[in-house]
Amino acid sequence: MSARHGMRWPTAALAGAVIVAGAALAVVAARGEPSPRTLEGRVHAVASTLRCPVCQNLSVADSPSLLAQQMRSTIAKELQAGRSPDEIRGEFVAGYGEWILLAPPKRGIDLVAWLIPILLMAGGAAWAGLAVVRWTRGSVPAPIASNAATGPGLPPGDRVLLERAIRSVSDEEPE
Amino acid sequence: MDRLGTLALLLGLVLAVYGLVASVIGARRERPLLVESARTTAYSLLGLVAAANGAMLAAILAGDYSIKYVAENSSRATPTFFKVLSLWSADEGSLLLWNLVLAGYIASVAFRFRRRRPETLPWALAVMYGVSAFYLLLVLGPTSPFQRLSVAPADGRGPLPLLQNHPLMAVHPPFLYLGFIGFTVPFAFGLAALLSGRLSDQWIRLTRRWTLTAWIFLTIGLVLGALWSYGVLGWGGYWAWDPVENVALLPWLMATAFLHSVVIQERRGMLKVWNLCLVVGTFALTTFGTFLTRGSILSSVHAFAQSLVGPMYLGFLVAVLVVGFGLIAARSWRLASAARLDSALSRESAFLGNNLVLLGITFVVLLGTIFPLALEALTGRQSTVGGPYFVQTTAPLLILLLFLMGVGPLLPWRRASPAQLRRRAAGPAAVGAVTLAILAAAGMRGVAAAAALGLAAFVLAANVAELWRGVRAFARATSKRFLPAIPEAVARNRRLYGGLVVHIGVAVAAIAITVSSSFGRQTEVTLARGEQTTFAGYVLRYEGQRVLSQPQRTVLVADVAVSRGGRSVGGVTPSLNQYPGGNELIGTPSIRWGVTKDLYASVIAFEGLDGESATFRFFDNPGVMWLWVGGAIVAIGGLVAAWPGRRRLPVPPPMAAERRLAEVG
Amino acid sequence: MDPRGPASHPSGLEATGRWTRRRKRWVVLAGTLGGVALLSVLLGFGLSRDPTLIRSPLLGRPAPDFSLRALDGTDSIRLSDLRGQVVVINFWASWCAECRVEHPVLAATWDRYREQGVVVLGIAFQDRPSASRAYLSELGGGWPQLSDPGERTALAYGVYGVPETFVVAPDGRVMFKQVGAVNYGALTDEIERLVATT
Repeated sequence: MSARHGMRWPTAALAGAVIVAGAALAVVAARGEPSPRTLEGRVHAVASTLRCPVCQNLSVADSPSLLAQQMRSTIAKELQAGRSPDEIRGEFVAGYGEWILLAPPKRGIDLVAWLIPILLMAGGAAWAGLAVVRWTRGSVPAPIASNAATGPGLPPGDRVLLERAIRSVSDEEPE
Repeated sequence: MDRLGTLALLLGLVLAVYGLVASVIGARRERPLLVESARTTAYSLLGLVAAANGAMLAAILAGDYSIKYVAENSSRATPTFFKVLSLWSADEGSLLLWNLVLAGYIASVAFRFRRRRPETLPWALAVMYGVSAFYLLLVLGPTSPFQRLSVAPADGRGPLPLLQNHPLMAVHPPFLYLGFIGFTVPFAFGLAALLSGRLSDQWIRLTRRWTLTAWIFLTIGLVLGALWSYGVLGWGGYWAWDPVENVALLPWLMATAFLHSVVIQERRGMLKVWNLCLVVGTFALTTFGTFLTRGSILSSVHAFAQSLVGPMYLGFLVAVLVVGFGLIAARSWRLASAARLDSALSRESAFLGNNLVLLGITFVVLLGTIFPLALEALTGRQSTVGGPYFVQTTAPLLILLLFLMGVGPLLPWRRASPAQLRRRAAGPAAVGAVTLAILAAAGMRGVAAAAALGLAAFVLAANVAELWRGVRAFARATSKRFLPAIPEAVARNRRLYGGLVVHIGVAVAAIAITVSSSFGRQTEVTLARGEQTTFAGYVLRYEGQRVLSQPQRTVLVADVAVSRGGRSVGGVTPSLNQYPGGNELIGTPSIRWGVTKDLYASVIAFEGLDGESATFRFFDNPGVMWLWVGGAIVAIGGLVAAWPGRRRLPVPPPMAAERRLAEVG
Repeated sequence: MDPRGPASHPSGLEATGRWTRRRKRWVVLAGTLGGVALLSVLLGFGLSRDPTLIRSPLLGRPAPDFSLRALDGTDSIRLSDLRGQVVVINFWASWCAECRVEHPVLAATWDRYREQGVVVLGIAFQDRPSASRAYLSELGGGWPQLSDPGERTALAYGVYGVPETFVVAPDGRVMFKQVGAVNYGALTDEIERLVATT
């Protein structure tokens, strides 16, 4: 791994890896999300979006309680009768209220719960990006660490470090 | 016993208040003797709180049912082991333990700084005594554990069935408390820096190991909690996004961000305000967590209903936030630092990204946890935010975090040359790409899961490669062979190697979580005695019901024979437990642990006479074992980073080491 | 904010910088305190409510219809056939301690209002029929008792556990719901009110 012939193959390997990874992900994406085929799987999919009323913090799919089991069998019967998952969820909402849905619906005021994280992350990323741009601007293009070792003067970053190191000796935590 | 306990707590409160006052006056008027007396008070405080805990334990073991707590949480039939656990199986007792751990931390700080005393020590002691006084007030007032009953019952009710069903209950809460309360120490020193106006980075160096220790405990506590959930609750999973789990995760996330960003402050003198915000935030989140679980705001398996405690916690939380952030805001102008990065392509930027993502996850989890409350306050509608929401919102962030965990260690501090980065990243990236190609070829579905697995492979490879590269460079520089060089190389830079090991553990855990949640299968089936079913390659035959009479409960065991490929491979014995005084039967799952997958069985109900038939849930859980392994690796990595070195190099050698590494790498 | 501000600094530029910095500080401080205040109001609200109390969306809505067979297997009862009458629906189980507590309340209600056309219906919840029958023969009670296979009706009514009691108005809307043992006064008040309006 010497630097002489090192410039060529890592670039090729990295580019190849990125292309292979991208292609593999595209293949997986093209297959779509896993969709349940068996009745049991479809029941599980519906039940995992509903909150078990007696345990309160597990989904109907997960709960080992008797009531959850009966809810699962109700879901199975409704699915067999040709109802759609949304219709079945609607029936449970009619009896128990929206409280029974484990995730807030993506509409109305509940949309706020979904939007805030996106807005916040976008804002955070923008702020961090700007900060990095601001903090790197005007910094003396310090030579790469490996060949700076023999340089006559300390680059500004190193000077800061050195000063900090010296200061740290005086109030170092005792061992 | 109860009088002794209450007296000890009362004296403890007096001492805590004395410690608070004495250290403040001692620091302001520069009276070293006063400060010294405040410092040594910590030992007496620990002794008194320990005495209160001992009194409660003695009352439980002796079966003094005239004490309400003992009557409600212990009984004659409770086995001794679980009697001891009764100490923390309900609100009042667990607060006693909480106080003990807090007093223990204060005493450890007092002992640690017995000879060399940083100037901020009195202020830090004052903060810790203040916190201690609050928690002592809590156990003396609204949640008094030593309250007496006017008429003592002949026998107690025994602990909650769910809490006496598994020995893991012995270790999960103490570890969680050690983690939660441990963050009081960095918080105290951070606040001390603000209070005293000595705003150097000293507080960070002083508390680095304390923070790390608390973080390790909290990590272990979280993993044990997941293990408890998996091994006891019988629903086949380990993490339910229960609000109580979430509030334990929140300080962990923020503390992880803190552990990374303090390194930037140490190295570059940047982010001073940010780090103070993180340490105050972490402590506030631990308070918030206890408030939410104990303040009767949530309904959950864990929530201890207690009416008067809520307002007190709320007041404390508000005080922490106002004092903490108020002081930071007031001092922010003195904390301003010339922020400067050499390059956007550096470990510093990776750490910034890490902070952004970790805080993003923290915020999303926090938002989801309090959103139902906000919605109900605004519209009066009752709603739930549970698993599906958290999975959908945090998954992209977690994937991003995985990416950063792989890239960060590949980037040198200050500035990376693109060529250098390409050289270091090529191998790990190839490992990730091959993993993805294999998954795609195997017909996997689900982009997020595939991406997570590919990235986890990348993280594993990158961190292992960095470990190897570092040790090899050290071995060459000292002309040693590779293996013997490991301990010495690690001892030279514990934080680096500890961090790499932690990353490896997290990657292993990430693989376990992704695999178990995307490839797990389950079935629900009712079997008559002698009937069998096939599931996930197993043949499962219900042999019948067994009834075990134990002193504290009756256990109905379902015997299920398991065979695979025509050969018997043993059995699983899920059971339902009947506790006296409880209508509900508490299930205990039975797990056949395996390296690649677990067979997990729980019984929901027996029907007919003597269990003529039984309804089971069987789970095929692949990879779950590696979650515990990953958790253990994380803890080990944390220990490596926190382990005290024999001698410390006077000047931290970041530049020298980087250079040497860069030359050989 | 700082009255001496501009005067004490000869350089106007510096003074402005200091002033904006000061203002920024106040903004930060105010923002922090505002956020804390908002959070504490929210959490204070959280303290003021009972998290275990979940309101039923059925109140004021038409009661889900059902047609259930009696426990003794004789005949079945359809809720919509009872339109025009006040109907008390009680979900119970033999294994439930609170149901025993409230049983006399239901019996007294039945005795007092059956003449006025008020119907009490018991629906067994997660119970073995034999156990239910034994419970009834022990405690008595002449109102119709129905079995609910698969708990379909209980799920439609959003039952969390037993006992739960609903009162259905003559127009078929749910007017009252009680989780836990029902209180005689509250129940009869509701019935009186509904009977009076018909």
